[in-house]
Amino acid sequence: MKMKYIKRVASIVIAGTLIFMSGNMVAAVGTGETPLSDSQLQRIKTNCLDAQSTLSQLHVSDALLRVNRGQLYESIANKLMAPLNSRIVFSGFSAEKLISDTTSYNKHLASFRANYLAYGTAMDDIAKLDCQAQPEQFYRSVADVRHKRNRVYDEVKALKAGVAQYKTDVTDFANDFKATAQ
Amino acid sequence: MRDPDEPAPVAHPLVLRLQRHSFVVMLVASIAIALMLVAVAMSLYASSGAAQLDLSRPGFSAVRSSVDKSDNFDTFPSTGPITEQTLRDFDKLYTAKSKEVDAVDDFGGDVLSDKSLGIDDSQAAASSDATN
Repeated sequence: MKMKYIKRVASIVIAGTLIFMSGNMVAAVGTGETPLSDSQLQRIKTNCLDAQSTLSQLHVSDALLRVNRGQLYESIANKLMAPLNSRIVFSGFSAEKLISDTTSYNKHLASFRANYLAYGTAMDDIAKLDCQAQPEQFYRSVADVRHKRNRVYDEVKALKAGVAQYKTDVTDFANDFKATAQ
Repeated sequence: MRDPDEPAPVAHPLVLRLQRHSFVVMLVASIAIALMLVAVAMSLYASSGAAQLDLSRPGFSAVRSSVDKSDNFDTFPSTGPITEQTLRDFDKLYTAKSKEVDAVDDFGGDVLSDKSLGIDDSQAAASSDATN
């Protein structure tokens, strides 16, 4: 009876750990893609080591960019937008537009983090590929990484637009405040 | 209450063996639990995004010194009245930071194109150029 209980608990713990870890693994399956020509496959095999080196350098420079620019974007939200919004609300004024802008900005910031995570993980995976043995897999992985980097860029553009929009609305608030004060 | 005439229950041989070697069992179980927890921690490290921000990983030594560690980001105070002066102060701080945001086109450019990486189908590109 006791043995049965121990076996049951052990199997539940092991199964739980395996399920948790497998949830983080993603299997990429390419379906319906145009097959590459022999000349292109040969060109990939010839140049892929240089391409992998370029990708590796890009990954390093993008990681630095992510840290430095990520700090800037987060500081704008936490050290400028949020304090002004709360100060306006506590002073008895309406900050609805500014709060809406801040919420939208924070959503794009969360997407930026998530998209960069996907991009960074894909870059880590591509470095482990034997590109000369698997040129077609390498090519598809580069296309995937390109797509993921573009998604990060889309969020960067949205964040920049959010920064500009907030500035516009603060200027409008300041003008209304001035008009009310006079 | 058990009947005194009833024979005492006999434990499973495996349980008896485990009881005889309880110290070794404890060591093995501790190591197994520690390994499982390390596996969970590493999985969280990868899935949470912390791995992507960790420049102490091998291969990132070249850029470690370039991380902006300064804490010179002036925080706008969240307490106090709203006056024209405070709005001007805020505008000054915010304009400086928005210029920093616009100064860099981060993650832009065409660095990952097939042509840039030298993995495009150059023969097909050359023949389409000839046709045009």
